[in-house]
Order: sequence, then C-alpha cells, then structure tokens
Amino acid sequence: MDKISEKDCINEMIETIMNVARGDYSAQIKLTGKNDELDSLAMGINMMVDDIKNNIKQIEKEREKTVARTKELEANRKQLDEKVKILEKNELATLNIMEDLQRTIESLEKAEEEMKIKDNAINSSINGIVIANNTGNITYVNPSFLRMWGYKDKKEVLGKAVVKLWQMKGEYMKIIDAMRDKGGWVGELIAERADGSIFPAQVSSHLVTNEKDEIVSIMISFVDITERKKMEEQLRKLDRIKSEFLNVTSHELRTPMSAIKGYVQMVLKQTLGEITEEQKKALNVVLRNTDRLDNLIRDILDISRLESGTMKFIPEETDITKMVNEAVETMKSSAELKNIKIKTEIGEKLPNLIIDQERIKQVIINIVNNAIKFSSDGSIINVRAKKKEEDVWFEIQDFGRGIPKEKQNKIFDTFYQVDSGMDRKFGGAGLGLSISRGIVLSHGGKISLESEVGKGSTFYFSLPVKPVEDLEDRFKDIDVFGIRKEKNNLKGEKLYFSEE
Amino acid sequence: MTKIMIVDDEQDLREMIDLMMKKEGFETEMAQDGMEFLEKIDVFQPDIVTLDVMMPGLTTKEILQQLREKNNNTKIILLTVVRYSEEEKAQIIKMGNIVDYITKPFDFEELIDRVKFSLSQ
Repeated sequence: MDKISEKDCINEMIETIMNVARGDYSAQIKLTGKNDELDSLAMGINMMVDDIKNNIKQIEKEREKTVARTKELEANRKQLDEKVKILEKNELATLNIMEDLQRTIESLEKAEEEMKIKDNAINSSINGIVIANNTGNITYVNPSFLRMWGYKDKKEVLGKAVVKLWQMKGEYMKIIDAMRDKGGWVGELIAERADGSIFPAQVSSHLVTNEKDEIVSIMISFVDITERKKMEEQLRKLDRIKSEFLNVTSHELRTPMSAIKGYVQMVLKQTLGEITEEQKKALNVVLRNTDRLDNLIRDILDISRLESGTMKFIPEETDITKMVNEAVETMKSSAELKNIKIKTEIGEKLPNLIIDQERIKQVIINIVNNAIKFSSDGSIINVRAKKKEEDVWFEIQDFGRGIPKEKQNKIFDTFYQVDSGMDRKFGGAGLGLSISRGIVLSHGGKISLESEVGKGSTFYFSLPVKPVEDLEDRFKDIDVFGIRKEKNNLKGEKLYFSEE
Repeated sequence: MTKIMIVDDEQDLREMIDLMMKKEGFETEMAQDGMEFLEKIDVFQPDIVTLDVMMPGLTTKEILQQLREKNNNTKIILLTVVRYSEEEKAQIIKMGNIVDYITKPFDFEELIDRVKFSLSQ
C-alpha cells in the first residue's frame, strides 16, 4: 500500500464515504502506514465498505432467487391452466360421445323395428316370396309361398334350386339375360306345385348386390294369376262375341237398308212410273232417315272396332290440301242450308302424310258437322291446317254456342252429349267425337279443344309428319277407351281373302 | 243384249238389283248362292256378275277358285260391307274375275254406273 500524508488520508476518507453514499463501493482508502488512529479509522471504513458491498451482493442474490422462483411458479400455473383446459375439452368430448351413442342406439332400435315390420310384411304377404343365394338355391320362403306351392314345411324346399319351382321351357335364357342386363325380370311363368299340378304365376325377380356389386341373393315374388287368366279369357270371349255380333248385325242391318234405299231411289227417279210432288217429298224423308240410320250403324261399328283394336286402317300417301278440300266439299250443302260459310286456310308447303285419308276426312267431317249444327245461321267456320315442328295441326273454329268448361273433358266420351235436348233435336248419338279421337290417337296424333260459352269452339288435332310404323300395330298399344283388350280374330269378310 | 247375273242370298236385294238392271235394259238372271251361280253361269253366260261376298255355303274364295278351274273369266263386281286396302284389293284382283267392288248400302245410280264402266273396260 502506498504511504500518503495524513491530510490526503483524511481527504481520501471523505471522498470514499461520499462514493459509498452514492452507491460506489469499489474504492479503498489508502493507509498512511503510520499505524495510528487515522490508519485504524481508514481500515475500519474500508472493512465497513466491504461489508456493505457483501451485504448488497447477498441481497441481490436473494432477489435473483426470488425472481427465478416466481418464474417457475408462473410456468407451473400456465401448465395447470392448460391441463384444466384439456380437461374441459375432454369433458365436452365425452358428452358428445355419449350423445352419439344414444343416437346410435335409437337408430339401431328403429332399424330393428323396421326389420321386424319388413319381416312381418314378407311373412304375411299374400305374394309368395322366395329368396335364393347367388348360386340359385333357396334360402328363404314365406308362408304364402308354401300355401301356393302346396308344401307343408319350408324344410321341403330350402336348399333346392329355385328354377325347379316352375316349368322353364324356352324362357330360361331370356330370364338369365334380363337378370344380368337389367338386374331383374318381370313376367309370367307356369308354376309347378309340390304335387306336380300347375298354375299361372306373375313373377317379379331381382338381384340383390352388395357394395362391391357382387350378387348376394335373388329375391323373387309370385302372384297366382289363375283367376285373372280366367277373367281375361272370359273377357276375350265376350269381346269376340260382341265383335262377331256387331259384324253380323252390321251386315244384317245394311243389307235391308240397301233394299230400302235402292227401291226408294228407283221410285224417286221415276224409273217405276211417275209420282206426285207429295210422294216425292215423303220418299225424300224416308231416304234421309235411311241415311241417318246407316250412319248410326256405321258409327256403332267404328266405336266397337276402335274399342277392340280391330279398326282397319288403310294408310296411303295423302295430299293435305286436297284431302281438306274434299272433306269440306262434302259439308258444303248442309252448311249452305244454314247460310254458313266454310273458309279453309291451308299452310304452304305442307308435306304429304301417310295416313288413312278416308278416316281423317271422317274426323274433319265429324267436327265440321258439329260446328254447323251448333252455329247460328249466316255464321262462319274456319278450317285450318299448318305445319308446326314435327306435326301437321288441323283447326276447326266455329263461332257457335260453345261448350261449358265442366263438359269439355267429357266431350270425347262415347255417347256423350253436351245438351241432350239440343243434340236430339239436331240428331246424332254422341259418337262422332269419340270416333274422331280414336282415329287421331291411332295415327299417333293428339286431339283437344278450346271453347267459351257464347263465343264458339276451336277443335285441334295433330298428325305426325313421320308416320307411325304400322297403324294397326301401333293402335294395339293405345288404350283409347281406357279398357285394354287384345286384338280379336274376327270372323268376317276379311277371312274370305286371307291366305290361311 | 248385255247379260248380267245377280248373286245374293237376300231375296229382296237380289230382286231389287234385278229390277234396276232390267229397267236399264239388261238381260238378267239370278242365283241365291255360290252353288246355284256356278250351275247357271255356263248356261246363261253373263257379261258381268254382281256377287255378294257374304253368303251361306261356298265362300267367295271357293267360288273364285272354281271359276278359275273352269277357265271362266267373266267380270265380277263384289258387293261388300267393308272397304279394302290397296294390298287387299291387289290380292282380290290376283284371284281373277274381280273388276270392282261396291260397299253396301250403295246408291242405285252408283251401282249402274260401275256396272256400265266395268263393261266398257
């Protein structure tokens, strides 16, 4: 240690104390080296400063420790918070799982219930139901099946080949093809009972596949159609009788009519001698009523043939303009009696149609005839024909008394008359429109009307430009009168010429 | 004189046509069925025949077959109650003899016109 003067020592002491007061504990007072009181004081101060320095260090250490501890505690709290959050989440998840479970149980119960209902339905169905596996062996039959086939117990049939249930004949490949291509087959088969007796059955079968599109089983449902077949046969027989009756009646009625008409015409033409004006008038009434009766017979026969699908159509290439004009021409005289003008408007470049032109003329005449009947004197009737897309549309418009809304949809029904009193006065049995509809539908066309009471009616009908492939064949597919009937083999004139 | 034969099972109709034709100046003969017609045709030798298609006994087809066997080609007008398609007409014509057909009930003048027209062909 450097030795300094006493005065310097005191000054140094003052300075050190001042530094300590400012917080600087680094300085040490230099000793005088005289080992006197001043030195002792200086040493004392130096020791004191060191002590303070050490104490402060100790305090800082403690403080650092406290800070570290606090940090540690905060970290722990955070962890705890997160754990709480996770727990909360878990609780929610648990609740959700429980709800899901509840729902699953409910839907399972529902499915089970549905299965029970379906099972009951299959069990109590009046249809015979058979389920076979993918190799065609029976795995299930319902009680109706056992009853229909005359088996006492299902054990008698389980495991057997399903095809053994009916007489296959030529249908086998047809059924297999349909099953493969369309996944099912519907048709009629001859079923063979346990005792070997047979009955006709309506069959509906389809394949059941799994998610991988593999065939799991075959479901087959049977209905015994013995009674239906009997009824159909009876209907066919009745139909045949009716058609034969009508054919014979028609011939039997028309032959005497020919005699009446012929003789009346001969007398009227005075071939058999002169007659008076009064006689002429009387015979004209006879002639007119003969024609009316003949028209009625013709209409009844037409209806009967349309109903049974035996109406004969003779399709020929037809010039529309010519046909409409010819039809209108035949109506001219009856229109003139009421001073009614028939105007025709035929569209340009109408294509020729392959139709039975006599029958279509009959449709136009029927509608125009009605229009004349229900128009007042001096009125106008418009007859139009025009091409619209793939059809030729015909329109017959009158300004007569019109048809009430509620009667418009019945107007094409057989024997329907809008106003029976009025119609009777004008003549007609209500067959014309019904026949017209049958003829138009047979040609693949449509027929409709628009009408307002007091303002008049417009009848529309269409004929396709592209002719139906076979008028008669097509007709078999259209159930014009809402009763499905099969085509009869009519005994009649046709047979005299068919090459049997 | 032109000869016409009327074949119909209906007496009234037969006699009516007979009267019509007589008034038109034809020489006439009648038959009530196919059998009688085939017997009389060789004797009477008509120029034309009206033949009803629906008669008891022989069918129209059988009558036409027998005429063919006789090599008889007398003109025949059929009396029918239905109309025929072109195809059927062709089929009928192919059988020979048939020159026309008329649908019942016909107009008295129409029948006379058709008979005269067929004769002129």
